[in-house]
Amino acid sequence: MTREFASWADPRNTSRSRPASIHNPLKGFLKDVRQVGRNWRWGRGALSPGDVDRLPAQQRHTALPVPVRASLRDPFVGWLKRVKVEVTGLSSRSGEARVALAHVESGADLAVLLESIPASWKVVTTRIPKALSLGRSVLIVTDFASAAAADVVAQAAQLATRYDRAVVPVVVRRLAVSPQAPSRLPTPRTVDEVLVRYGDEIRDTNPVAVAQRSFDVVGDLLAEDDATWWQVVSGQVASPLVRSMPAWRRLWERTDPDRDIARTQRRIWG
Amino acid sequence: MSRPGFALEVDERTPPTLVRSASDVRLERFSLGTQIVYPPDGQPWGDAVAATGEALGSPIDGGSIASRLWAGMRLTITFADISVLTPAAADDPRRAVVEQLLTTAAEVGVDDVVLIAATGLRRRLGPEDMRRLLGERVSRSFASDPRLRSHDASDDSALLTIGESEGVQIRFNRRVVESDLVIHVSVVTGAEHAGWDEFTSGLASSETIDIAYGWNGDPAPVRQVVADRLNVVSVAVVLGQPSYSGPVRYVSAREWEWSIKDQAAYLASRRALATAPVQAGRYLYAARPVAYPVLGVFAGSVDEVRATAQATLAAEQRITVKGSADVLVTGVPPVHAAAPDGDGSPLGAAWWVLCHAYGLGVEKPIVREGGAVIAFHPLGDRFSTRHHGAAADMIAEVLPETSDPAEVASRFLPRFAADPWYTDLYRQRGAYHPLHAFHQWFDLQPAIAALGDVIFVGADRRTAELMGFRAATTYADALEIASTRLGRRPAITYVRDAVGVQVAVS
Repeated sequence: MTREFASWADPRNTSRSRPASIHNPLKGFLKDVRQVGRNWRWGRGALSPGDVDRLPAQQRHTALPVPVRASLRDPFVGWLKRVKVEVTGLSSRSGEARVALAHVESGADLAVLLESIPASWKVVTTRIPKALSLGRSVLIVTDFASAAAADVVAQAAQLATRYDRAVVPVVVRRLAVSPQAPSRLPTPRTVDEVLVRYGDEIRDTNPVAVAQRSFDVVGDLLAEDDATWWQVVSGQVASPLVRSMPAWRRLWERTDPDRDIARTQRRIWG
Repeated sequence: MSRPGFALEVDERTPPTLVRSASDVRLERFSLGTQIVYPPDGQPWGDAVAATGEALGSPIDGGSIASRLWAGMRLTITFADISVLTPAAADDPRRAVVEQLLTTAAEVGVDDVVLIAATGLRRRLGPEDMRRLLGERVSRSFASDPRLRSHDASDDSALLTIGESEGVQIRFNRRVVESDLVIHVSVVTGAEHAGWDEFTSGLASSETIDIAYGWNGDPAPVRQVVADRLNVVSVAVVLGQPSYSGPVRYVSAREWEWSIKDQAAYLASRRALATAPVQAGRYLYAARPVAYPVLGVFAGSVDEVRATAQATLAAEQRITVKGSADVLVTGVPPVHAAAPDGDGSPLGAAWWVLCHAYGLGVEKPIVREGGAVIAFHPLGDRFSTRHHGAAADMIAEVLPETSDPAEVASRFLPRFAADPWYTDLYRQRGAYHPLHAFHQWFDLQPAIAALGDVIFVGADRRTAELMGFRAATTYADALEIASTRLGRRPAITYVRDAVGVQVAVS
């Protein structure tokens, strides 16, 4: 030791300060409340500093209304929900209205999809033409393997081109199904895994081209899920559309534990 | 659009202001006349995907990125690591850029593509880090594949000599050197981002980084050799001020705009963090991604992209304060560039204060020479010794012997650099390189030399003393300490959030 230290802080002769092992959680609470309440005016918020009043009006205040229901729900939803949702391909796109065209295989997946769509899209599922003209987005779902898919996709493409909106293809797939009884509380190992893939926006003035491109992108998203994104992009695997078979059989094949080693989480044990 | 930032002069109507001290939060009343620098009020806006498409289609120096690729070429995409975007973004823009680059490469027919994280002396990235930065598509596509990897500054087989400076070989990542084209993806939120320094310090050998950025280092010769030898295109995404939302919205919101819900969340956080283990506080912030506004995406030559990106950033971030301060006050967030995992060492906290916050001044520092810096951080020993093992040993073994940077560099640095234990931790177990802690210490020295006092509020006295700083129990005590040099009425500037702000002194 060659350095000289202050006697009250010498690392050789003083012990490290540590917090008390048992902390009173209410200690200092009243002081905190008083500080928070300083300058607070009930019903009108806090008093603004003088400099703020001198700022241009548009720089003073931006209220960010958060729905009360959502704010109460958010802290608990992750714990209570019975699915682990992973969203890919969704970027911070601008708030412009669009037509979300989703491939969904079950009603349960539709609920997951609705949860994953950004609130800024302002998605509605009814009164579609009126909603589009009001600047809201529209969600249209179908099973691309069903016979009705061609008509639904054609209608979606018509809507998008008529109102000059982009089509965003989305694929929702259930990757793992937990065998737990519904009455038990979910745990990280027993929840279902659902993956929501967003594709690139499609814009065109020709509805036929939009419909065809929608099929192609959904096919790519499904192939990407079976193989990898790079294999699809680099043309190493074909991207066939959904095979025509009952939805339960597709789910059965896909949730085979040995299907995809790369996706499996490595664990230290078990 | 974001609301611009501004400097607020404290008056009787100013409410107590939020201060962050690692994972702790508190409200502090600042004296009348204190200037509080509020950063721009970041709201998420801008479309990273569309902006990237435009930038790659028409780079600053002409000729689309696609036109620079050809089938059969060797393409390497390098990208800035997790230290750059802190706190982490909910949707990291590197994902959009790398996906579009790979798509373009695939369309052209480029098969030989490698992605390398420019980690330099920082910890090498694991699969979860890759997933966080590049998204599920890219990370799963190259999972367990050496085509997606972190740079290793100590792997002799993966380094190639490209020149010499001061008798030391300049060695660089072999794959980068042998590539026909290197595309470096940066995320720009501060003055240090994008450009040759980020590229060089992220992809050179540890010895090369040491001669360029270590004690008395000179990066110019290394930069020159790298620029002459390599064919590099830069892509930079410029981001604005991050904004917290949900239960921790109060961290970003201005105090007089707090709703009752924000006030309740603040009070609940205070109580919870007072009783919860330190890891809980880290988790509360480190695991909470935030939204960033996208200010622009630029592609082209390295120097031009850096200049354009920095000009865009300055237009968004620059705030003017009246005169140099006698005292600069700053908090230290739990997640920052030196602690992207929220588990940083006291050295990292000091680095944040004396390099980052002190360096926010444009053209000249915010605080005058001989002034004081008051920072809020516990400087505790509860940090990750897995990530920061060399920093822990440096604090325990080196600083009790000497704090002189020249002596530290000559007596201790070679031993740490040659120790195979530290090298193994760095290469195999996700630790920072042993030189990293030394470089942090060297980086502090210009500020320490210029300042009269550096005072940490709520700090462990032993650690503060070891590092040559002062410890104070409260902010008022810190001002008492500073007043012995600066008088009873010092000019005080408080930077409320030192992320996403640049300060010009009028």
